[in-house]
Amino acid sequence: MSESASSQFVSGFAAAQPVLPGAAGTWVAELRRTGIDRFATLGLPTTRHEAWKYTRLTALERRTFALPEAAADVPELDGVQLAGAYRMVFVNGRFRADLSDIDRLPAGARIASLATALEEGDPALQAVFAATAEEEDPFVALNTAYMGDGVLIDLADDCVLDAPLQLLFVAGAGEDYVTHVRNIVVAGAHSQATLVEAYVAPDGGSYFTNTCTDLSLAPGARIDHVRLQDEDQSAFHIGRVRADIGRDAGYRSQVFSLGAQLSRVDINVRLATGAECDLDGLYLASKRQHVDHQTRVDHAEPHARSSELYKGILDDAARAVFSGTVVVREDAQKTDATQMNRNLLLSPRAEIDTRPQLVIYADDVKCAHGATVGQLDPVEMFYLRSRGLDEIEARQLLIHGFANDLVDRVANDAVRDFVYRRLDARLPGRMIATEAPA
Amino acid sequence: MLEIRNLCVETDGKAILKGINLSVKAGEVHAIMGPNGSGKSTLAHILAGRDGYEVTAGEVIYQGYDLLDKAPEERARDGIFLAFQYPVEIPGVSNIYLLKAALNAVRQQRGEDELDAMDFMVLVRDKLKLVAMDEAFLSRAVNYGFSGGEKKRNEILQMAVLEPRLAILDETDSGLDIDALRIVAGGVNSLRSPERAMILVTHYQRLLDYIVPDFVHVLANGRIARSGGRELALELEEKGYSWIQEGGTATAAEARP
Repeated sequence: MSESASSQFVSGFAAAQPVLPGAAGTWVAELRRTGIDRFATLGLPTTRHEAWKYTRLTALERRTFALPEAAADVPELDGVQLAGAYRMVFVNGRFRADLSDIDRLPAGARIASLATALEEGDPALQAVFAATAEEEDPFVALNTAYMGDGVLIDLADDCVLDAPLQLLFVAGAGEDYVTHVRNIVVAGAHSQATLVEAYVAPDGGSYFTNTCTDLSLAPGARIDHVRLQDEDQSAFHIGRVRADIGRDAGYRSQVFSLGAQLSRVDINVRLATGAECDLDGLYLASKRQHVDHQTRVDHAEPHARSSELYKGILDDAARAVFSGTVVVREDAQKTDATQMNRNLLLSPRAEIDTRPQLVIYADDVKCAHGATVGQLDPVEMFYLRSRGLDEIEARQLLIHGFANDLVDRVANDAVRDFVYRRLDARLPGRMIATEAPA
Repeated sequence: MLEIRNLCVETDGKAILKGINLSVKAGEVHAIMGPNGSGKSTLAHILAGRDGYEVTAGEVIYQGYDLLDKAPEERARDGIFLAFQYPVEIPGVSNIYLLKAALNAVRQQRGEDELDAMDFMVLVRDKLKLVAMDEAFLSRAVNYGFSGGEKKRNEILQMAVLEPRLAILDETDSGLDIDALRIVAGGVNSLRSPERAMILVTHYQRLLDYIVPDFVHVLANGRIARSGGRELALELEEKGYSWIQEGGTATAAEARP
């Protein structure tokens, strides 16, 4: 019997460690050791785990993945680069200074390759890792063990990043490799930035992205975080976002999940007093794609506000999972939380499992949640056709309309345009052409 | 232009229209009045091609061909326009996008080129004036969050841009205050022409004070119970629909002058 992905990750660690950033004997090496031990204990989740009930990892587990070779080639970046932005480009998980642009950063902004910071054993970074509790998530534990690169963003108090920062993760040539990307964002008091984290695969390939982005916002900080997952259709993508939002700080997360054969994104947000967060998400899936989003908003303290809107468009035999939890703790009085998940099913074989949940321990709160699942509205179809649009055009327009609603909410013009273009490339052909009847 | 002959329609096994006869010529404005549930809206929807209805007998001839075989978009492209009683909200799709897509579909059918962006805007600005709408409406999502009056004006705007041969206005007056009614009626009147026919479906005579029809038909229990001129509407206003229903007169469509 061939080796499974999880056992290979454990058995291959000792051999891999020397090539990972961070010298032997340092805190980094120690941290990696903790990570792999934890992963060995936890193992890959199975459908017996409540949070993985509808997402089976068999297809991932029966593959093996090598660490990527360093790639010196220049992939095709036309169409994936965000205009007028700072840019950090990673090819096969490695930072490429030659393709990046982080010159002329404003004072107080430090943006660096995580690999470099790990090599240097950066004490500030050590403090960030030291603050994390024992890891419960096997993919984060695995990420900690193997993290190869990513970005370290450190914004001083009052630092305002004057243009969006694009974190562009490009799958270059090669097959059967895994990248463990770790991004760390430390935003000082009243600092402000727009981050665009994008995973793209201009050259295709079957690979595995295991990525984790940790954000910590000091009081009054504002972070707009757009996350675009546009991986190859045969790729695996496991993503984590963990955001600790300080007093009166604001976090806006806009997730667009378009690619990968199997993708799973978990977003965990903790809100302090007076903090606010808006979580938007749009997922498209067709053919046999499987896409899973799990969000958790923790209202730990009073007077915080959160809103959440996730929408899905599913065609063919695609399957999606949405599970959103809002927890309002006993002390979190005057919480204002809304949560909504809407799904558009374009094929009778498409399937969604949706589970919006509120867990409320406080008594003076305003909370609402819900979910809808439906097909294209026949009255809307008739309306458009009665204006001269044929059936295909009408379908296309309604599907675009359903999606545009979320894209329109992206505040920055250039970022919104970037998302539109990526979405557009996925929407019309793929989503409209339904398979021939069996 | 339009000949409806003995049209019988069922939905869910229930007969809604029970033998409608109606002849509409270019340049004419016909009002179809009737109490709730008389089948007026069904007739409007059938002409525009909405599914969910079964035609059990009769035919509808438009421009010399059988209309009922055609898809809604084919009818629209050949000049039929239905102004909806309840205009549909389409979030995420801008008004201007729909107007342009609809106009280009119609123009293509007529063998005309697509309008370029500049000419299109000139045309739309001109039509906006007809319904006293601000240009800001164009970038808003179709009918989304519009007031009742704004939705009805938007229907008339679409009609003005598409310049149909046969316009069917389904309860366009319902839910309008007097100012909005005047604007809508003004827009409709400006579109009256010798080449264009209109069918106004309405419950109330009030609309006909502003859009004066050439013919009035009263629909009751799935049949045209009475036809006449403008004065029939006034008589109805005075005596109420019960007058028609009780009278049960069999004069029906033959009474057409």
